[in-house]
Amino acid sequence: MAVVIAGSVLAMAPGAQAAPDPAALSDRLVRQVTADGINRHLIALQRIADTNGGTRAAHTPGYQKSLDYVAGKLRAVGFDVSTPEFTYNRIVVDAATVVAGAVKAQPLQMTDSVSTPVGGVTGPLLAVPVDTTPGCQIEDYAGINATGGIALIKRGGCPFTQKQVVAAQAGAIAALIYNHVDGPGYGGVDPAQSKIPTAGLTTAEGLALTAVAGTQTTVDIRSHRQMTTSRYLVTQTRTGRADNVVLAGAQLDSIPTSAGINDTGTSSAALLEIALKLGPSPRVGNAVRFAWWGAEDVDKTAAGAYLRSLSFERQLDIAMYLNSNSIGSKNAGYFVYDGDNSTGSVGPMPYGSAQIEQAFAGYLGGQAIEVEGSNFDRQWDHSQFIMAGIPTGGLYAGTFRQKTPAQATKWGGTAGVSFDPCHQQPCDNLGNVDRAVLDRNADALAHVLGGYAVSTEDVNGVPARASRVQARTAATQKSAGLKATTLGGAE
Amino acid sequence: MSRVRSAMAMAVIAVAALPMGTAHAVPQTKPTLAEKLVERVTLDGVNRHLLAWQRIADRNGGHRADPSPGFTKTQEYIESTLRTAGFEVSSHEFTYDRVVIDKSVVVAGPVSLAPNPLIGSPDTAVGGVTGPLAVVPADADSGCQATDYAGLNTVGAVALVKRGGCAYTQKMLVAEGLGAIAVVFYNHSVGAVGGVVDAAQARIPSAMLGSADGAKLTGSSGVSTNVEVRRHVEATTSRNVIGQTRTGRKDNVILLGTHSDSVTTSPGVNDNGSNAAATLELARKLGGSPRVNNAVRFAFWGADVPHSGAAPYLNSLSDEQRLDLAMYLDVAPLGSPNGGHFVFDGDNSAGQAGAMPHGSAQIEKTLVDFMTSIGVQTEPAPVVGQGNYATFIAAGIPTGGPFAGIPHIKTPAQAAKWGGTAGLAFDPCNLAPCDNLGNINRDILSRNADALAFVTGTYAMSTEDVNGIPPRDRRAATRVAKSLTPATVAGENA
Repeated sequence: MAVVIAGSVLAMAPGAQAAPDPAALSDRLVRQVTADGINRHLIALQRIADTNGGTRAAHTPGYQKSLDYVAGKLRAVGFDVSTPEFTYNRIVVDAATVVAGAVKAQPLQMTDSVSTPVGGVTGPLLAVPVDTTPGCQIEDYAGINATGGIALIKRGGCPFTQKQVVAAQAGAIAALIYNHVDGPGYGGVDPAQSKIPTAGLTTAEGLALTAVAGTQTTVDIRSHRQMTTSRYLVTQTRTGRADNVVLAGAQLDSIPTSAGINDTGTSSAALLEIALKLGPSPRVGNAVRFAWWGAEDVDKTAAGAYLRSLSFERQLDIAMYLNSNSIGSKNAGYFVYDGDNSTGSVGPMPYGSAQIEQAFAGYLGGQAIEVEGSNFDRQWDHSQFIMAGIPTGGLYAGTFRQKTPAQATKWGGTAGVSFDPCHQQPCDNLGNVDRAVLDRNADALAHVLGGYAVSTEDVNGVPARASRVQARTAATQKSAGLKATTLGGAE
Repeated sequence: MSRVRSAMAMAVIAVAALPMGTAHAVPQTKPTLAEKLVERVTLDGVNRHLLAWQRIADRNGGHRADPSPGFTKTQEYIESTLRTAGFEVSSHEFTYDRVVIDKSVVVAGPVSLAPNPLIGSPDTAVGGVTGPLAVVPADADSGCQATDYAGLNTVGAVALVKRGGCAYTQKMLVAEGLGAIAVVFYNHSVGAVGGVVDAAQARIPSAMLGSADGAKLTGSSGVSTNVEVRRHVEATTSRNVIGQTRTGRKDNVILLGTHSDSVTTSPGVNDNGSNAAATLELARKLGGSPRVNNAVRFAFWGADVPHSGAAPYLNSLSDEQRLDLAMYLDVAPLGSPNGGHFVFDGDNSAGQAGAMPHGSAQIEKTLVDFMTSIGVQTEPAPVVGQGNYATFIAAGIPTGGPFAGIPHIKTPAQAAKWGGTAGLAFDPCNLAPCDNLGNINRDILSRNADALAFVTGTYAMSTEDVNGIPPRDRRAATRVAKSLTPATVAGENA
């Protein structure tokens, strides 16, 4: 008896188990999540922005309406939705002007840069010579009397922080850094090294100011932080293990000057459509939790607040975090979060992230799309999960960086232009989405999410439900065999 | 009486409950604690603790070495899990001399490598020693005999010797005898790098490289080579986490011990994560107040060999307190990816363990019988270095435990028996960054965890075969028998 059982126990090699086919759920989701369904949510988000001052920023009614829309859709199909509050330190702009005689510009104060005094600072405009590393070394100021001047520097070659440190060293009282690609001059400096007020400009503004170098120029850039309360949204399937949850999240808010339809509408809309098609009670091994975050790109994100609200055990219940961001860019690339750190630029990643990257790359590879590892910015939502040791992966179609000729050859589109030429601009509207790209990325997300909802075995060793049943059966057989052999002997 | 009655009742139920018409139906009895624990300790439960180790490492610089924040978090997790399960949890602090490596390099021309100094080997002065590299031809026992150096210029040379065939100490003595000024070992397989030489005999510095690094030097015969190895010791405080059941005899305690740390280069999910996870899950499923005859104590040792918290713990106990320990179950890594099923050699049948305290053979038999019952063949565990068990064996405490194997190479016979790959170490990622969640054979881990649950449950009820102390019901029966005079017996019968 024992020998027979023993044979069956030993035959339980992992490969021999008849696990359910995770592809079944994946295939259903890929089939049901359509560009049409997602687009309807984008239309809703555009309409919400249009009727609420053109924005869906986290502290505005447009964001609240966006949240209500997502919550309403989820509730309508039977999800229980919670919208916890969180507070964040919002940046409030008090002044943002550059006046050089007749030439005016609208600077964007760099995040964490010191402000000017009220009324600004005034000095001659100094055009720092343009080379591959403009304003990165003190030698770039050779022959310029920079003392008391406003340094005008082209972007590129070194961090913003370094440019303003060097400018301050040369004697400048403010630094204006203009873009080397299309789009506004968003950026930040290291608060510990912020020496002089520093702001970003567009390329056009930079060139216009260069033409009037030497003019007495006033730079007035001021901002303050204000504690602001907002909400995020979390919901979870009723089915599946609650201690091995697949968490998928997207940022929902826009910047104050844009409807944010590609960034963040595409990822939010795709995630919503996946949730609606998955439904609140699917046949899954693992529960799926969906989250829509607010207030990214500020120092206290909703994702961070959420994670801090969870104990280590509750964090352990989260098997992985799937993020996506700007997945319908007009001049798109196909980036997958670099879970195996093959680009060498993201640092060590939690175990399992490499497997998630492989799952995304595998699906898109099957669609004949060659992906690249994304060296994503650690300030984004998902960085909070990475720091908590939670396996993380996701998709990104690119935003502010320029597409290279090699990437244009591989993916189509235009080399030398940003992946999203309307990134963080008013033109990031319904016209700023490549719907074929969006559809493909949404399919990839649906596929990967569906697969992990059935089994996360490659990420964390937790197998699909059927193999667990088999393992339990084996355990029962084992103890039955045990009785047969040991109990008789004991008496 | 009651035992007979319940056995009969069970037999009736068994017949009713087994409609399959099995010709040799197993008589159903109330499951023993050991059987219940085998059922309750699931792979899923063990795996969750592995996830915790991985996550703690991933958020604390990639490791859980003692001392480090990752190890502190590991201990906090263990303590909170034990407390939640209702255990009495205590902490035992100790101080040890931690070895800190100040410098460890091998430089041969353009090649610069970072070896692991061998424990027990002397350090070099600042600047190290330099001499031509003498590459000993690689075979199964390179450098074990002086003849292996035939034709090589060895006086004042740095010997490069492949691992295998004899002890590091012997290779070092052979090299020294030929005039070598240092020995650089390299591994014979992928995996752990490090070893021990007999400090009393070691007079030239020795250090070890991985097999890949060794291959970078084998073509550099005669190249001037610098070896610098310097370390210092630093008094370091660590602690053991101890949890004990509130129930059971406190003078006949089953002690389980395991490490719970990693090295600084690894998250240590198999070593020591798998053993700590299986032990913790067993504790959780046993609970703080089980119906047991003997108390069960779980020790999660701080630091690691050769500074393990096991020895300071044992030293802190009085002779009487040591006598209260019925046995020590040493839990070694249980989920090695290319692992097997070893059991500590309590009867010294392999002749390597030396004389063992009485009772060790019985513990081995209990484990082997369990494995046999689930159709798994075992082997006596290889004696590895200076494991925790040595401390307990030296104190005369019966010792045993399961082990999946770590540094040794799996033989073809073992691969045929247990599956896996012959010619490869049981754990090729040992002490390496790749000892992560992917470095676990969950089938082997599951069986070894079951064996641990079975042996613990068995001895929590009775250690009679080990030390003659019978279970409670038998003791009660004996007492009653002694106190009854023939007259009262007659009176009660009337």
